[in-house]
Amino acid sequence: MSIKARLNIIVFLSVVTIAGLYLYIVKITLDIDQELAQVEKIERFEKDVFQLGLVTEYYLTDQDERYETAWISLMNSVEELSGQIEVFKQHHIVAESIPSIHEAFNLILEINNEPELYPDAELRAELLQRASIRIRADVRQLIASSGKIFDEHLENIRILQVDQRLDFLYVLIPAILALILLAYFMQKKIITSLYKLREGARLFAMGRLDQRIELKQDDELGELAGQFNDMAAELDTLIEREKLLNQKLEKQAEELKLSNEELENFASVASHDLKEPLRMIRNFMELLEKKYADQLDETANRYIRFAVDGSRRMTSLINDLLEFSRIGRVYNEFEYVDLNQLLEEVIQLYEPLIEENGTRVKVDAMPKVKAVPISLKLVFQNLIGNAIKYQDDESNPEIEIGLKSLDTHWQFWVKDNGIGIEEEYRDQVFQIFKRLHGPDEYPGTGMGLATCKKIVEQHNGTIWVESKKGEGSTFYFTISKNLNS
Amino acid sequence: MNKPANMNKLTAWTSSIFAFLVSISLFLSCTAENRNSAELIPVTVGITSFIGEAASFVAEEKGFFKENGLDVTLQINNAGSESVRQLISGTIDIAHVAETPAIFSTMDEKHISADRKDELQIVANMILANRIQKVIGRYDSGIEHPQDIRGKRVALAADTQLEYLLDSFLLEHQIGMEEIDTVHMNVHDQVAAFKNGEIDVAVVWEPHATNLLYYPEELAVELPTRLTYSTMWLVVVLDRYSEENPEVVSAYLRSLLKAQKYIRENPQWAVQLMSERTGVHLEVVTKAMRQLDYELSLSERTLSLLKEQKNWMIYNGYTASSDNL
Repeated sequence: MSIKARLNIIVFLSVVTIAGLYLYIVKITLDIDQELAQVEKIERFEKDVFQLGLVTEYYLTDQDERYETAWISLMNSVEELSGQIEVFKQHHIVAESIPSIHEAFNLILEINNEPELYPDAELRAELLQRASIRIRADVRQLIASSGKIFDEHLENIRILQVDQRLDFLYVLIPAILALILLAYFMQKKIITSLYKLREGARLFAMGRLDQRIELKQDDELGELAGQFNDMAAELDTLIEREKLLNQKLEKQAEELKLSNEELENFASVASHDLKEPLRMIRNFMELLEKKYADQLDETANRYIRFAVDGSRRMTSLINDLLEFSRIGRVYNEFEYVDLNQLLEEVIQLYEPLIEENGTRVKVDAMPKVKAVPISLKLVFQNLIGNAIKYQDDESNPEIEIGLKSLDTHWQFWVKDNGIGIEEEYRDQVFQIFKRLHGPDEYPGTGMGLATCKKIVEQHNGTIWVESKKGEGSTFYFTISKNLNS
Repeated sequence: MNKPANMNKLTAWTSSIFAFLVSISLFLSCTAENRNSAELIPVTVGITSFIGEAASFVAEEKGFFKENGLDVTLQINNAGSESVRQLISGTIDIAHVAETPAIFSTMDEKHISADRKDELQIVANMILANRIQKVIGRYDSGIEHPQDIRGKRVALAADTQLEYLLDSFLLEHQIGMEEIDTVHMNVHDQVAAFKNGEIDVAVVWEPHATNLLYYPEELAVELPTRLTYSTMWLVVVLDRYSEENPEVVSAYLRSLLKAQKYIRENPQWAVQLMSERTGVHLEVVTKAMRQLDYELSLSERTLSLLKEQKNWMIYNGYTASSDNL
């Protein structure tokens, strides 16, 4: 049976009990009122019968008409009351005594009023005596019977007031006890079930995914336990699946990491190993140009210059690649960096160009931040370098380096009034080796912004650019405020 | 299938309580039976088959006498006067008798108790009834009114309350005893005599009165009287017996009291029993028993009525003294 049904039963039983008790009280009250009304009538009846007996005696002593009238009035009252007293119907002697008195008194009246009917005086006296004794006996019987009935009614009232109230308690107390017991056992069952549910849920939450709740009840809690078990089984399956997926991902990440490391090692080794032959090529090309420039025609000299320039750019590219590969691998020590000093060093690095172009540089006051110093320096170096480099010949270059403190990150920007970037290339500029201009127009390896992106990501940040062609660019990047090695 | 431990405990408790209750019941029932069989006091009671005896039959049938420690033997006589004689002679211990034989035996040595050596003691009245004695005449004897009985054969059971009833009836209607032909006959014989026309008037008590009045109805007429006759049915013992066995008298009255309560609560059953015990038709007994109340008393009314009978005896010259009552 469901809990709702059980609760409905308890409510129903409570209502029935209360209604029953209420009706019981009403019934007792009505019974008492009825008994009291009967008692009052019996009392009046007894009084009237007593007076009837007295008036009979008065009349027998003195045959006065007043007594006769009073007697008739009293007899009428007695007869009327006897008809109203229900219990008299069960007492033959009461029902019979009243007409008996009446008939005997009629006989007395007849003897007194019509003495000619009873000519023998002695017989008349004897008859009067018997009739009077008859009345006395009946009056005494009526008084005795009504007195007894009066006492019985008083006893009935007492029973109604006391015993039936005890009955009321006998009914009320067991009813209340039964309801309490019913509620107690039901509550106990519910609480026990709830404890089982809570304990099951607690163990499940603690990681016991095989935990199931044994609650074989045909009610809402049993249903809830079943649903919990279904949910647990489903969750168990999902978690198991996720675990397998994670293991797979971890394995892939590990493989990727190894692959990256191998790649970086390869880049490092390759860069390092390439530098030496490249330097040799460039040195010999420069030597060739220096010693045999006069003996070679213009075309040969131009080719030699191309080769020297190519080897120089190749060196730059290799150096940049080497730097790129060191990020996160070699450059991985986080420490507090004074950005004011760092920026001063970077600007000093570009001092000749700045003076040459007449570039104005504005730097906001910078904080100390936790970062890999050389990496962060590379970021500013690349961004400021780009800002100086990508300028029109006619413009008056202006660079602004700013800072904003966010909740969890520092946000920096490097703003210029240079040539700007077309919208379609904004995301591409951070790709490795991506260049938007030819080496003759603006020199470079195409590694700078890719390096910046890698460093910013090493610092749990992001980098993006806002720019419009011909109106300059603003490069933003963020680094986390909570960085550990 | 294993029961839970709590269930086993509950079962054990229930069994223990049940066993305990059964033991107590057996012990009590054995004790009660032993007491009943060992200590019952033999009592012989003289009664009649009069409907006023209902309480005696019920008490015997339902074992109320035994409950009160009495081994009662009911000695059924034709009339209360016979029972009084047996009481005086020592044949019985208690007599059930109407008021007239009781007064006769107390006041008049000539009638019942000429050789009595001990006073009678009335310990209780068992019924309250005002109209169970009747004077009944036959239509075909020309009787329709009280005055019509002059010169007719009127049956009378001597030494009974009916004697007083007839005397009052005649007095009320100004008829002299010498004006009727008195036929002495007990009430049982009156019924047959009335039906076969041997007598013209029967003076009887219930249930014979109802028997005559309703079977056949057209044959009989009840002759009216304004002097209602109150019947008593008294429990009478000898003084000596009462003094020596007060607890027996008390236990006897308690048994009757309980029987009367049982009659009030089970009237139909009591009627059935009375019909079986008296051999009177069930319908007759039903009508007869409706005319009286089974109520144990010893009231002023009883004394008044006894006094009335005493006066009657003096008036009729049955006794010279008025001091005996």
